[in-house]
Amino acid sequence: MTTVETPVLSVRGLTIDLAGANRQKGLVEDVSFDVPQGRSVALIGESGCGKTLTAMSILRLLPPELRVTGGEIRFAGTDMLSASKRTLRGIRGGPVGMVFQDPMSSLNPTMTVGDQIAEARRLHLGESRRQARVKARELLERVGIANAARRVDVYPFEMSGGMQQRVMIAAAIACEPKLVIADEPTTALDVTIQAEILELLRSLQEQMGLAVLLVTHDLGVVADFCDDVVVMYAGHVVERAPVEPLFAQPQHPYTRALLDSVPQAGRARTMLDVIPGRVPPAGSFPAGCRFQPRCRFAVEETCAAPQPEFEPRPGHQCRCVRVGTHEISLEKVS
Amino acid sequence: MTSTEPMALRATGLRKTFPLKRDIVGRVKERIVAVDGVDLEVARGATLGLVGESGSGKSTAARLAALLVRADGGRIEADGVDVTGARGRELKALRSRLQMVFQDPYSALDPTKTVGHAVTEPLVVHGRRQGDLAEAAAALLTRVSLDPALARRRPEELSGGQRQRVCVARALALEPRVLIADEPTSALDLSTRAGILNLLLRLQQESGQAMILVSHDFATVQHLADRIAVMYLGRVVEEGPAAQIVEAPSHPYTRALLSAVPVPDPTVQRGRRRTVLHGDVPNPANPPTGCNFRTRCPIAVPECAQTDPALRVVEPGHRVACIRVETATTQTRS
Amino acid sequence: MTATVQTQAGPAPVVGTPRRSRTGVLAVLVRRPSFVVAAGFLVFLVLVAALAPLIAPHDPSAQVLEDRLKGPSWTHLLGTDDLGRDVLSRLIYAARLAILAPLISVGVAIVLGVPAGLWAGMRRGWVDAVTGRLSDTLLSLPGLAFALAVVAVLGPGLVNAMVAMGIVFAPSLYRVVRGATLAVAEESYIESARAIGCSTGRTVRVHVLPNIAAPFLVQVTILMGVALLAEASLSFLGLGVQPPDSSWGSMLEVAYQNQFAAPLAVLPAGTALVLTVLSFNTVGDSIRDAVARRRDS
Repeated sequence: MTTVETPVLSVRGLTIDLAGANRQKGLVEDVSFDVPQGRSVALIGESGCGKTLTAMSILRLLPPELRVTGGEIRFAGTDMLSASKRTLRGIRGGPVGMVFQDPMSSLNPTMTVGDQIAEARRLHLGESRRQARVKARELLERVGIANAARRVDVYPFEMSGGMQQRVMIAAAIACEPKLVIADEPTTALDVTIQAEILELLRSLQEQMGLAVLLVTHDLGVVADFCDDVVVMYAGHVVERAPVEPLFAQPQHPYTRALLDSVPQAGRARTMLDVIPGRVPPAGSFPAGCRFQPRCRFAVEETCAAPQPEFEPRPGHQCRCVRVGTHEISLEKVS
Repeated sequence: MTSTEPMALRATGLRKTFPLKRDIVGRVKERIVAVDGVDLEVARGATLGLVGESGSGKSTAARLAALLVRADGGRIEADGVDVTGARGRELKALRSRLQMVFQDPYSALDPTKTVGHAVTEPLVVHGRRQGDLAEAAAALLTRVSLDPALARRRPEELSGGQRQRVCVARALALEPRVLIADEPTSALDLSTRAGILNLLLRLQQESGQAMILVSHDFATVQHLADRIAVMYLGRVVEEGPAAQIVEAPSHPYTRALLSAVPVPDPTVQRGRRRTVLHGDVPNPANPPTGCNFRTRCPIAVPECAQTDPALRVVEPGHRVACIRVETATTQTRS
Repeated sequence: MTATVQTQAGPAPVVGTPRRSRTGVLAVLVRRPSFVVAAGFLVFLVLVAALAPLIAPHDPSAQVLEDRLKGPSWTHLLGTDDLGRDVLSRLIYAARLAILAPLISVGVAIVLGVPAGLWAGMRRGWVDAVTGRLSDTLLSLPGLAFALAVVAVLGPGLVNAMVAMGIVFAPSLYRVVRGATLAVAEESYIESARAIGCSTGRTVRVHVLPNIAAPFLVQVTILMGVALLAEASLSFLGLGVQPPDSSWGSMLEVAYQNQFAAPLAVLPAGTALVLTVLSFNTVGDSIRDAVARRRDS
């Protein structure tokens, strides 16, 4: 991995607040990570961790009551947070493609599949209707849809979930983007279809040198597809690492606990390690480390203070003072 | 496989069709076969895992076994007693033997009733209220590791994991001999799932209940099940001891399914040989003739279209419905 | 579910019985000023109606022909009508009809519409088809015209007129109940009720009714307002309440007849009508908003 190239996406200190009647600060707080060129990064966490908010904020797609109140987001050198509407429109769907979770509701039911794919090309590359249509057919073939020539004119409801998701991907890569943001792209799909979609994304990534930001809650998908992992919990990034070190030697108690609680082969019919308590609801985040009420290593003083990022191992960051200062070790004795 | 004790639940040849289209007068023109000749059996104290993707018919099969839906064909025996056509009072009495935990804890509890009402209603309905209902509620809640004080709360005040435990408590109120759990963890956060799985395991170990666990999540099923039955488009394609199914699946669909389930361990996951399926998922209303998996099967031959493959014994206690399995055994081991 | 026409309004879901589904909603409601004012007004109206003999300053039917069509004075706070009767006292006594009449028609609508709606929503099948077509037919009839036809057949009178309106209202209530029941019937807790052995009757009673209470109540309040206006219209036309009884509608007719002599005479009954209908609608809107807000929070 070349460290000289600038990352295609760079997020620093991102903070998102909820305005309005139920004001909440720090829904997402001080989130930082990079997506290097041509690599896939997972943004993983459970519901309420802020991963979707973070992903949406990159293209400034948040609803008005959710405001970015701090930090910086740079895409290929452009400052996204201060970019004009015009610049943003030029980026969305062009240099940055987006794949959403539920294709049934993300695809326009009144437009043919071909038109939806072509739309991006016509908007960003100024292609004519005919040119864009030809390209749409090519893209359908590229994402593995058989009978592309005929399928260009079908409507989304005439397709299965897996095929619809392929169409979404085709639309996302229509303009040869540098980055694709995929928000839980396979959650709504059967596992065999999921495997096909991930396979497709992988081959596209290789062919096109795409960077991918994959938002997911599925550890298996991360292990299968992603190069780097960013773990989020209750609005904080708690750990960042390449995928293999993350799974082999997690450096944050939450990641460790999560990996221990997931059923895996070889541990059948045993009691799993349960993480006590539950994810704190948005209004009641604890001060300092937000995981401390559930963490078996928590120590009042240390953990109630803001946790800076440490690098206990090269290339592997964690936001835990106790681990960072080597006060404790998460190595499993087995 | 002979045993002196009858199976806690045994269903043979279960069949269920649903009307799809009606003509103008209301007569049914087209049907969809949701469950097509399925056998299920589970012994006391054991767990049968029922696995399949969407459209496999597993939820319908579970509901047939739970006597919630009337089967169009087949035979159901509970503890050796034929209960197939049970109605009215007989059916009500059987309800106390077969209970179900439903998939979505967010809609499985009446929002206008307290938790205490939810867990004691079965007792009230069956006239089993001896003494204080409040005591009964407290006892049930404690059994699922919930604070008895929650009895006064409404479901909306509880988290997903807590609600699921309430659903389990409700199912246990009548002390059923068979518990059927339909996707008990699918709607829950990752960190909550382990708790529910542990709960189910503990309850089974304590009370010797039989359990049928329905899930599309192989990891969950293989964690709890002694035996696994794999369903595809309304039929059981393979069944056998969990360990055998997981380590040496015989049916091409089971192989594909297992290979599609990503393992949360990148080194292992990326080293696996994957069987990616191709071809469209068939329309359940119009399944392929003969073996209904043949349109996506990597080892299909012309004969597959001619006969419905019956379940044949591959090893003692392990059956597979595929005409190619005997010869393909070497090929199917990956 | 029976409804006695004379006194109490219909079956349990409408009146009084505290439903747990409303306690949470109730808490939200009482914080809304519009609801408090509107509900307060309705309560006030009920009290006025109940205590009419005690609070009316004069006998409502006492005719003092010398004092005809007088404006407001200290003895007659709202003036007198064309027969010298005290308007305020008549207004107070007519409040009874303002409550009774809507209750009758809404009661009839409930008896006709709710069981059918529940059945259609729970069982569907041919019952749904039959009741659906019936309700569609009734809905296509213009309400007042139908009521007029019924009254023509049965003869004028408050009860006849209100029963006719009740029949006219039944389809809309049926639709609301059917729609709400359909939605609830899809929920897992209904299947769960069956799974533990609840009979259909118990399932409907314990699990469906409380969960359709909100849309039901909203529709009922709307219908109350419409019923009151319908009664006023029919009585204005002389087809509703018959003398010597009077309702606000018939008082309006009298005021209308004498509009040149006493142009402001329409105000008392008219204002009472407006305020009451507004209150019904506000209560309905508040319930709807409160339920929606709870769902979102």
